[in-house]
Amino acid sequence: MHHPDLTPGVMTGLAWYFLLASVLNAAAAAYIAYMELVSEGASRVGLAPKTRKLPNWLVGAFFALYGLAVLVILGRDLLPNATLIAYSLCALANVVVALTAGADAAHFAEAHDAGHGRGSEVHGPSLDDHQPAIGLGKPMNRTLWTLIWAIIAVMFQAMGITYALGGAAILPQFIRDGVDAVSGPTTFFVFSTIAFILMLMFRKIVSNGIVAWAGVNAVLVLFGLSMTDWDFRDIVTKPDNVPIVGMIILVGYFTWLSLRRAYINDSRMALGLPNLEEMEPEKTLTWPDLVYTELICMVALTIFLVVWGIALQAPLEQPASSTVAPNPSKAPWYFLGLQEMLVYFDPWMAGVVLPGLIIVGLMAIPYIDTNKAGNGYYTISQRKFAYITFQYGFLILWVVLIVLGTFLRGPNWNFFGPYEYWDLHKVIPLNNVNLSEIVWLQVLGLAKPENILKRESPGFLVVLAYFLLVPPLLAKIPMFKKMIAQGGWLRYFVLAGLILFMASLPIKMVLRWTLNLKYIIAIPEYFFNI
Amino acid sequence: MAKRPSVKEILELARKGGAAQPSGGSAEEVPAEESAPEPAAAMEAAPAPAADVPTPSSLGRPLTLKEKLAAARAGGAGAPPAAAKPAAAAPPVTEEAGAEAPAEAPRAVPAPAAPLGRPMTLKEKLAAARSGGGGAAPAAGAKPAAGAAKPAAKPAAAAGAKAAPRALPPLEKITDPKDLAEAARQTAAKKEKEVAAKLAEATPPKAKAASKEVKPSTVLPKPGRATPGATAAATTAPVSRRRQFFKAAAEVCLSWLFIAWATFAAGCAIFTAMMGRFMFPNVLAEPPSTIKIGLPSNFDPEDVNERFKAEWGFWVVRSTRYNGQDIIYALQSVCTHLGCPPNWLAGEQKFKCPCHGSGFYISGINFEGPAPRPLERFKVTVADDGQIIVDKSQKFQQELGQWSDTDSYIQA
Repeated sequence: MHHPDLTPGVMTGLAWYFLLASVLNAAAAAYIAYMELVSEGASRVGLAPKTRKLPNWLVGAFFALYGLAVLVILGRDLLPNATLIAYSLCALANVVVALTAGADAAHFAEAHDAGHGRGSEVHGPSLDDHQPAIGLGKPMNRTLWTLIWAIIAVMFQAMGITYALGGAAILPQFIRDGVDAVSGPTTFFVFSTIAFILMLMFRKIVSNGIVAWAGVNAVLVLFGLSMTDWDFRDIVTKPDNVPIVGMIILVGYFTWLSLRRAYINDSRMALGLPNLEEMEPEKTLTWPDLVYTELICMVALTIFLVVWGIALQAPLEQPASSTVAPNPSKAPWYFLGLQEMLVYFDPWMAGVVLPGLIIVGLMAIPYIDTNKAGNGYYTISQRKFAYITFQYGFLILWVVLIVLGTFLRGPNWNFFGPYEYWDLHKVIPLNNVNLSEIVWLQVLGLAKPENILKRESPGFLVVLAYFLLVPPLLAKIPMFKKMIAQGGWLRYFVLAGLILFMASLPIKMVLRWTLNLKYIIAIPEYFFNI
Repeated sequence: MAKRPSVKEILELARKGGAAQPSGGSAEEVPAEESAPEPAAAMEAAPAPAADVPTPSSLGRPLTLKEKLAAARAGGAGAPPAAAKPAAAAPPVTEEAGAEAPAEAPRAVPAPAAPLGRPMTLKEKLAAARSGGGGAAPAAGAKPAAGAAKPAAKPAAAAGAKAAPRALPPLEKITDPKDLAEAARQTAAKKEKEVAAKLAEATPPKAKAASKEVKPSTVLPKPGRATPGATAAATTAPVSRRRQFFKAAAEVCLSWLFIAWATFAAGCAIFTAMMGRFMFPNVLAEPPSTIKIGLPSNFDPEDVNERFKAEWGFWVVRSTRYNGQDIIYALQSVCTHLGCPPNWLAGEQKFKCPCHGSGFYISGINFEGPAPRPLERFKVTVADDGQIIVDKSQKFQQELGQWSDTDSYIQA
């Protein structure tokens, strides 16, 4: 079945989407050109006042053009091509801001080097310079990065105008085929894990604002181009799945923010400086400050939810039936991680034991954790183990699985690439075998023993070894040795048990993908399968 | 809205005036009299805060909470004038409504026990109440403990004036906390003696013992409970004791508390019984568990008949795939993993579950996905008229070896 990649509606949407991307980059360029760039914790003591000033005419022109565009749209009955005119006005505003910022940045740099600003003379270090946070490296070249974001803003705007004028730029088919070909549960999960490790290893680079903004731009352009694909669009814009798109943005932003603050704090504390939270104790009065803030948030969120509820209809399906299930049948989005676990485990394990252990384990953290560092401030290096364990469990084993279950699981719970058509009849051979079959039939070449316990003895051995041998082995690692010395053996064994249960999910996933292993212990007679 | 003092300003104020009455230290001090004389003199006499206390201006950054607390503590406990200052000269603490100052020294008992540094326990309150109606004994008794617990708060200067029995100024003019405590102690001792004397006068020795049992009670007064000792002392015969027991039992049974609880328990019991009855309805509209599905010849070889899935929840399958024989069987359309209804995919010749991807052959044997065991068969029999009857009340599971049962299939 073939669906059109582009429709007029989609192209209009993409035009405005790239307009938004352009205005974001124009704003970034203007921010770097005109604003004070004093990063978190950097001191402004002894710095001369800045010469960079946001020109009033630029602000006026920007809002005037956008206001004019709104007026044109309101009067669309009188004007032919009103939408296109309004779009052009907005685009003009974006380009003006981007180009002015670029030109002014170059001018400021010259003026600064010459030692005179507008009106007053400024020598030496001033607020014009970028004051980077400690640990994040040298100050950036403001002129260069203003120009880069300005150029990107113009490029995005050009793409937007292309769509607005009917140019059908689509994501090349070979890229889509390539992505579909390499994507699968294995690659997706492994790639996510590697990305997580890289993010932690290179957190200095990731924390950098320029790198982060470049990432945002990459996501913007990829997402925009992907929307030209019918299958991708169909899945992403389902009312069910829109919150997940929002969740990815929110989780990404807050993960990055905490990572950045943690990295700055770690660098500061390594130099013996107070951390950011110590420097700016965020204490306010409950009444009126906090209560007012909460009230405003409450009202804004209510309005947002009402608008959302009107704009995107509730994704109701056919009446419930005990004999017919929608295909694919998906849990509520927040449970899709659990549903993905159910692919690898028995219901009692994936639906009861593991979720129960997640809750119990989270509750047990205060009793297990003897590390008093990190109380009231962001840090990674002082709480490496806690940070990595929690973030792996949350980001990879929960959020990434939700994304997998939402966007990449199709009919019959088969895996589909992001640009792949959800074919009801897609066949993926998944002949799974139990460990007992591998051991008795394939390795030993014998028949499976009749006795259940004897038949499943390899599985029991593996599971017992996993839970009894791994903790003592782990205890030899210096990090855990220290933990035992601080907290004692009881704490350590509780921790080890929880970690082993947590690790059982990725281990089982890898075994399923590599060995087609269904169950390590398989006693369907008594519904006991692990 | 009037400008509120920020936390910083409050602390700044406390630090300035804190030499006389630091807010942090005030909780540790003896409650000041409300009608205290003008404290201005004491405040003026107070020296500046200790030099080692950090201020925002000296650090060039806002103080952390820890530093603020340390500063407050230093201003309160460390500075000698603060501790040595007369209690009466202390200004009433306006910022802290919680630190209520009792008006008179002897009535210091029921206050939230500032000298103890914690609220009074129930036992202490009772003791206070018992020791002669508003006597100051507990306060006096508690004072030394507080003094021991917070030695830093007690000034060295006051130690010199600690001569044990000494003449005290009149109550209104007492300024030193020590004097105040001493006064309280003396008053309490006096009161205690008076009470003891009164008791000795008023009651004979035996009744006195009984009267000691009388405690101020917050629960319902129980008639007859207040003077059991006296009556018991008067009558000792076993008959009257039994009568007394019945009388007490009757009184208990007739008390409102008992009636209320009994009614509640009875209500619960009745409700439980009704719930139990609800579980066994008079009419049970369950569909019949057996259905006639037609003649065996109606079913094509190697075919899955889906006519009965929507309403009855099973497929009728005729296949040779299970054991080579051409048999007809009814497979329940419920996945053995988590109970979703799988779909029959004729193209791939398999049942496929939409929930977690379990797959089953036409025989019902599981081969992919998480399903741990094959689909289940319903009982099938041939009726007298030659039609097949499917009985959903009986199931056959392959992993238990039940598929060899002749009730689980019929020969085509």
